[in-house]
Amino acid sequence: MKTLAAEMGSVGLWPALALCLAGCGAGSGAEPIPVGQDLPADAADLMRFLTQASFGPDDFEVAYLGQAGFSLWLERQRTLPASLHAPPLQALAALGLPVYQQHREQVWWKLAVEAPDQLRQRMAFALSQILVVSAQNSSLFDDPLGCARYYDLLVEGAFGNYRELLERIALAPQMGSYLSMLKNQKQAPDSGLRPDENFARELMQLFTIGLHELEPDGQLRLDPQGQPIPTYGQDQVEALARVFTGWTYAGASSWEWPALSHEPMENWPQYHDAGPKQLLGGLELPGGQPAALELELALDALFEHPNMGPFLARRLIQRFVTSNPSPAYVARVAAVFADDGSGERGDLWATLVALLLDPEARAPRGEQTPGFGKLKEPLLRITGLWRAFEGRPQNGVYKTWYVDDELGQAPLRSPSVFNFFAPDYQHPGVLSEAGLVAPEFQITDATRITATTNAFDVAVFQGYQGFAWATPASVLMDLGTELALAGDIEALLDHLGLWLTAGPLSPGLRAILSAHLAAIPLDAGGLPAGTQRVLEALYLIATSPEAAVQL
Amino acid sequence: MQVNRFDRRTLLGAAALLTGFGLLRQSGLERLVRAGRAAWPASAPGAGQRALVCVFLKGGNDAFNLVAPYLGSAYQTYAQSRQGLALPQEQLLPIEPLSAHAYDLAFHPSCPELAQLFDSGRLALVSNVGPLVEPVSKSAYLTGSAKLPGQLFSHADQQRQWQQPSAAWGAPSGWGGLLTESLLGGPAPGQLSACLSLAGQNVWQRGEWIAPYAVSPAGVVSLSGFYGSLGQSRKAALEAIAGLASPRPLAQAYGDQQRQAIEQGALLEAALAAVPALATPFPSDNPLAAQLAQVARLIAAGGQLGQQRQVFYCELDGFDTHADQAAVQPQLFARLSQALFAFQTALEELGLAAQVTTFTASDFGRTLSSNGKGSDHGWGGHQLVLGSSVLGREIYGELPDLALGGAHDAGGGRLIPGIAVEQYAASLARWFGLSEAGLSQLFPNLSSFASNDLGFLPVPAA
Repeated sequence: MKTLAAEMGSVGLWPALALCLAGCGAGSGAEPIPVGQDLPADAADLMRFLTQASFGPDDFEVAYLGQAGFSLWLERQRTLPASLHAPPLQALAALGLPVYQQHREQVWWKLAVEAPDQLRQRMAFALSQILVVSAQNSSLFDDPLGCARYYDLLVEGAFGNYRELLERIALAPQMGSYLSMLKNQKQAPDSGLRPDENFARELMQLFTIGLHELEPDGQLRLDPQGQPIPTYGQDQVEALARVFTGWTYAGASSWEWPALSHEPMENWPQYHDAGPKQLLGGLELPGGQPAALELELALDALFEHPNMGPFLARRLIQRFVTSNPSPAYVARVAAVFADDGSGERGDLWATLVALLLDPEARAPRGEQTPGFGKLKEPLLRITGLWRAFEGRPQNGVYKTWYVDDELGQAPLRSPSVFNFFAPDYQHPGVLSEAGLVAPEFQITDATRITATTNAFDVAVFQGYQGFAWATPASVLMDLGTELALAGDIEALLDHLGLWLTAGPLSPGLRAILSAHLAAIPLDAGGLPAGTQRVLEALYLIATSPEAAVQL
Repeated sequence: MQVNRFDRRTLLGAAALLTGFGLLRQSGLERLVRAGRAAWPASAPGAGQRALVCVFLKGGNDAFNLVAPYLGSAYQTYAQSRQGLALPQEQLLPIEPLSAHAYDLAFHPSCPELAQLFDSGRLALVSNVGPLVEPVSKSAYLTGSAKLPGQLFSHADQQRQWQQPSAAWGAPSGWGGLLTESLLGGPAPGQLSACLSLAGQNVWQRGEWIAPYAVSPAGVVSLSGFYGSLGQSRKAALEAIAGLASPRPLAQAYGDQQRQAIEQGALLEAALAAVPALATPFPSDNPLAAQLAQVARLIAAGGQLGQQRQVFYCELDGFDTHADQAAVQPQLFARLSQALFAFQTALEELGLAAQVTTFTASDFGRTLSSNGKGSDHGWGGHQLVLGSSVLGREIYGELPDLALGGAHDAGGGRLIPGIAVEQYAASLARWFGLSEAGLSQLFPNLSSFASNDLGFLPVPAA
């Protein structure tokens, strides 16, 4: 784990954050758990579901899902209050303290590890990798509160309608800044100036329909010559760019020098292109309409495009369940996106439930295709460890800042609008040979894979209650349960296998671990009984390919 | 194209005096001779170690501001097209190519090092390069009769097209990796990849079996925390686990990558430890400089590693200057200029400068026209080639008409490339040692273009 110099980070965030979380329904330990019908098939299925649908299983969610079943677990997640990222930063600012990006990241980590509304937070994280803005952008870097507020749009919209979310992000000043729609102005005939195409292009390519026409199951449609069919050309990009003209910060008193605002952008009609526009799919805007109406009509056209459902379904499935969903799986989820059963198109809650409860997502390991599953994102491997073993910083401050330097990923810090990795990334070697894509492998190069292994070295061997050189910010795990199993190596491996790999360890892994652990006396390292053995097992399993991959 | 140098210099000098801005930094026949090509081929291509370094300018470099016309009507045309993006005439840094071109060029004011490298013969400019399927005329483009690369103006697609052997390549491999494979022969198990990346995974360095090995600019990241005999036993267990065969390709791939990182990291670390510290200072707070500093060390370690051929990939990000171009561009260009200069200096210090050729690539050039804040995705753009083997101080290819609506404008000042990526790539690959037959094999569409050697590198002796 990378930890930067302490001064700025340790200032008083924790009280503000604790306050917020207390008010948001944290500390749900005493909550009674209802008894439900649709229970997971077995412990592996239960752990697998929580690996897919949260930042990792923890004691409470395991107990809840095990007794309440999928429907009630989902219903609870749907109705829990949203934990927002901006309020703790606003609380800091209200105390007159400076707010930096690391504070925003601290809040992200705290909510990922500790917030009760796990599914909502996980969905927001997935959406932040589709509707990308990044604090690596220089103007957003200077506005951590703005970044948190953008993230909160995704948190709040996580279970809403995608069309509404599209409009929110389109008018979000953070997106306006990131993809330069902010202050985008109409063509000035004498000057040769023309509208900026950035947002228009990426809105189509990355947020809604993609480059090529898709079948309802997400596969490429081909023309009679066997070639993919482009969804749009440069003319449509230019026309759409003209739709997105005249927008700037809300309440600006000057077009040239508008003051920063986090409210939805506002239109200045004199900078909006009033001419007719030929958009995608034959949609013709007559011109002269209000800019806000044109924006809505353009978003409608993209949202109604037949690509929209399969395009988004595949990306969401890749974030939660598997890198290589079958076409039928994509088609089933896309169908729910098209109609949630009540006639609504774009219902993200229904779409999410469909992808999590799909038979392909829930099939037991033995019935999966060999390529099923995904490489876990590095952030999720770390949150998974801490949630499983109650790893918490003693002072409440997660100093896991800017870990993208080492791990290739940090919240809202994508290197570009193309996210940390591409949905179609093919990794050299066995994966390419098997015809599988593996997005997360794009950030799993020789440097990062070793850095990730080293992150677990720190998280485990310097991360347990009783660690002699702990600092106030050390994340310390409570390994009481595991220590009780230290004398029974096979039981310990069963237990850790379930929590870290959502299933039994492979015989090969088990054999190596058994031999290694058996050679470690219970009092090894001068630590309390069993500690060294448990730490060794935790480290070796957490860094193993079996724990890196989610099946 | 070649004109009498004295006439040309006289002309330049007069123009400079006339307008009062042109500081032709040095003058005199002596310098021309010193900069002449005769000085280099001491280490003529052929035997010995050789390295090819790709500097990918990510996001789409606005090359029409990296170098710009600085005289008379050519500057006026440029300024008219670029509007608020145009650089002030008096700040430009003129260069003196050995032959005359459609107009005179000057570097961006943030690039004095590049101007110096150019005028001292170590740097060449290749004009208006981009992905093509066939040569494209403006009329063929406008009437829709031209065969075009797919998804023009899209970042991801054009990045790939630049890195692959043709614009219509179907496999995930790139020409750097395939080139390396064809020179090395079959895979050698356990050996360090000759494709070393300072910027992680990339398409360019992938071959059929070769893959980039990622090195951090800070050096090799090695496994930490194995103290004492228990630590050693843990390390052995970790390696054994990574080496387990798995019926699941995802797990197998992860283990393969872990094992490769451990084994090859150890080889690399040992080799780098034997490299003496470089005296050449590299600028700090410059991500490209950090990468190239490490590349210089890896090249110095090439002998120790048993690598006769090395292929490096570096990136400088941030070139997608839709907004704030006037603020962002000077910093980007200063980083590029200072990093390349330090790299060349370091290679000269190592005595390896003739064995290393560095070239730039980028998603695309940008629109000449402005959106009021910056520029948009274009197509063709200029590229730089650096090294002591490079036939520098020269511009290769025809300089494009920079007028909006001009001869090369596909619309909005997106310039139709005059040179295809594979012509540029083939010129580099030939110097790297690929035969004529190998070139046609590597670049399947090369014969669609007039020349497969742009002439900026000497042709190796047969």
